[in-house]
Amino acid sequence: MIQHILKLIWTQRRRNLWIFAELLVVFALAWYIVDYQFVLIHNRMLPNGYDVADTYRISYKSLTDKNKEAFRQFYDRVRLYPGVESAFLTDRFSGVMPYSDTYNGISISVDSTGNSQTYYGQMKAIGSNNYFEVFKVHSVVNPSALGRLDRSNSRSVVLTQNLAEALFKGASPMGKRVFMNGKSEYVVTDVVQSQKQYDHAQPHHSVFYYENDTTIAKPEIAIRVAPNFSFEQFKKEVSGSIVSYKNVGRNLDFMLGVTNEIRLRTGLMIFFLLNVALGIIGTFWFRNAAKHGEIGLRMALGSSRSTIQKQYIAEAVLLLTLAAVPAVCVNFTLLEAGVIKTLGEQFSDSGYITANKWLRFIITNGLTYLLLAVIVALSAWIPANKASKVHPVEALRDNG
Amino acid sequence: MIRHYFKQAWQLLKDNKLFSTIYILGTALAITMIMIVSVYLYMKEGNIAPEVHRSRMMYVATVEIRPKDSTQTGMAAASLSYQTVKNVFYPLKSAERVSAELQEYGEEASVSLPGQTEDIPTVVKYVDAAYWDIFRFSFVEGHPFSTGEFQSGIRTAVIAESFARQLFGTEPALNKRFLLDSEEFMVGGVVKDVSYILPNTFSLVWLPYTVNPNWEERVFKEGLLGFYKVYILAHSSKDFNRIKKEIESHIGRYEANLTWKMDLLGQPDDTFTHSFRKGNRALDMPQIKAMFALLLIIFLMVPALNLSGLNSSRMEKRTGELGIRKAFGAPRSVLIQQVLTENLLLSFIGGVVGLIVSYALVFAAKEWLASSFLFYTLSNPSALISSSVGITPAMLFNIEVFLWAFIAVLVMNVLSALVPGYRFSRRTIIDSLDEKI
Repeated sequence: MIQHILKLIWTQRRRNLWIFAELLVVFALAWYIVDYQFVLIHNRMLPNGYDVADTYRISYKSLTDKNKEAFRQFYDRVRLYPGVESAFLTDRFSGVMPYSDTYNGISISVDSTGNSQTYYGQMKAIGSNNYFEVFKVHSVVNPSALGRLDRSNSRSVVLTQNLAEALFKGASPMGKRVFMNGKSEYVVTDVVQSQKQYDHAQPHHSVFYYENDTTIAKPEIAIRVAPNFSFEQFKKEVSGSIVSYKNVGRNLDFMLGVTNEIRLRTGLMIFFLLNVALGIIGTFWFRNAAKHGEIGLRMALGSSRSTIQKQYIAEAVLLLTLAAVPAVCVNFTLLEAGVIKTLGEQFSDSGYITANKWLRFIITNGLTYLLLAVIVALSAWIPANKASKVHPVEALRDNG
Repeated sequence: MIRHYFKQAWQLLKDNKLFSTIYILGTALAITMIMIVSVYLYMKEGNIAPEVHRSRMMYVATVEIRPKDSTQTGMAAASLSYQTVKNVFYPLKSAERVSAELQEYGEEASVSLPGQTEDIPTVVKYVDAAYWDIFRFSFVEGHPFSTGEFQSGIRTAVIAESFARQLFGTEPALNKRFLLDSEEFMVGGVVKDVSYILPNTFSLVWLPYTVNPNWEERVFKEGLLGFYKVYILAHSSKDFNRIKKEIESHIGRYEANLTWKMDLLGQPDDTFTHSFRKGNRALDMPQIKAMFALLLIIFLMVPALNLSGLNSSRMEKRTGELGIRKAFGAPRSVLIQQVLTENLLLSFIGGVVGLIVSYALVFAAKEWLASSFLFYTLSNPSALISSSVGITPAMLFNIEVFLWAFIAVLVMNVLSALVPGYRFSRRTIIDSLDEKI
């Protein structure tokens, strides 16, 4: 049957040229969007390393000598408010909190001589282990426990899992030395789950170390609450500057432009699919009139209704398949030209599928083909259905 | 002749309802997308109240400074300090007006009424007296603060109509008092609400920046950096270069005795460029313009392929008629003309449908257009956005937008009918007559 349909496509190549061109162009453009969505969904599915459910962010004005004492009282009120399970205090611009837009970078390696590989990561200065409590960040070394700095050791640091693996490969990092910015020596006392800066990003390297709370200039308090916490009461009684971390994340995505990027691409995809649907319906419908006689003949010779329908759909999908071949070549060229925009940072040794160029290329092109095939098949079914309802006698009478 | 074509086109439309419907939908799809982009671009640079002079305005929002001594490394970037504004921008002679705004980051302001404890979150802009000359706000009560009031740091405020209602109900708000961060202010003027899509003018409260305790604060290195942003109103856009040169000469004089030098990163920007500026991040305008061009090409080309295909199949059915007309001496150009004109009716209807749908979509998605700056400072931006003005009629119904719709329709028409029409008209008389009529 396929050979037969291929012959049909070839004989009508003039007419098929437009829809062929459209399918080609749309395939290439749609692949670009599918690739983006693939990375996005992949990244979103990676664990954040922290849990923001039931957590809130409370902001306060910048600290001056005048309001330092007032703030201390404020912090106590928040900590002791009914329903607050744990509270963590940090500076708004420390980069520690989830969905923070601040990034303080450091370089880190296993020795200070410069002989071994240097890695880059984010430094997170924390004044207490409450961070791990509020966001339920678990230790990887001891999975039932939360991460923690060793407060008895001022040089204690906690690494994220991805950084620990990069620095020490398979060996246990516990108790080993690391050097930050080449000079400062620290000791690894715990390893925690890898942390993401944004929902749509992949986890990057992070290092937690101790820094006194007295350096805080613009306070931010994170709290984890129990079910008996009343958001509205808190707003009235303590402070109106409270927002859930879920919303913080959403706002950050919007501010970074990611939300709009996603909306734009989704809108474009809908546009492309509508065009394809319209094109297929239009092209095949106008064949009905021309092929009236031919269909009648086929039916008189024994084709059933469903065979006619299947033939239509097969022709449409085959057209797509033929157009997909040059389209994939175009996509290949785009890939090699470095035009593909990826989300966030991409490490070439990250071990994620998204870093594997060819596997990702095959998967995303395959997904594009499937998506378009479904739309094409559905669109072709509409005129196919109409065509198959022809009565053979009437059709033959027309004698096309 | 044209009338004849239109009559024929109308008849064709009625005879081929299905074809016409699909054709109109295809055109509408293209026009919808193109118009969404056009409306979006218009919102960025059209003269929309109160920003009625956008076409002759320039903006400076960020500056980078580096040591003059090239052996030293280091770079700092922020907005302008008051000192920089006073020395470089306020004295500009080639501009009609210069205004500066003090930007507050990371602090959410809240307002309360005297004697009450409830904190009402709000948005505040700290501006000068010239701000009201550059932007045309519509005052429903009172008037903006004068230069004198501004210079003496009097605690007078201009508030938005909806905020006045929230604070004072239906009573007139003029001369009433409220507390902002424990300081008392008096309402000197009430303005009609501004859309949140216009970041330079959207706010709920406007205060003279002289009331802000940080207004003369310097940030970094010899007082160059701070939190000010500058609006420059030129007499005409032809003066832009002259103003740029004057700014350069002022900067030269200003930093003559300093050890740091300023880099304005290509500013002052015109309105369109400024709408894309995000801090001191590299701004590649040619790339952005190319992206918009690519988008428009996609929106035209993909449906044009569709419609050309439809036209091709339609032509096939009419080859008999073509043969007869050719036999009677019709030149090719006349035939092509006929195809284009018949098509125009369908394209026009598709254009109208597309325009209406684009308006509906823009309206439905208006909250997506809110300035990202709001999301940075407010703890609950969505509540604010849903209670504020988004799309104003002026943004959708204006000459520029209609003109673009008209041009788009013409272009679509030509793109989708030209090639099929041309090929159609090249068939020889015998081929055409041969086909069953």
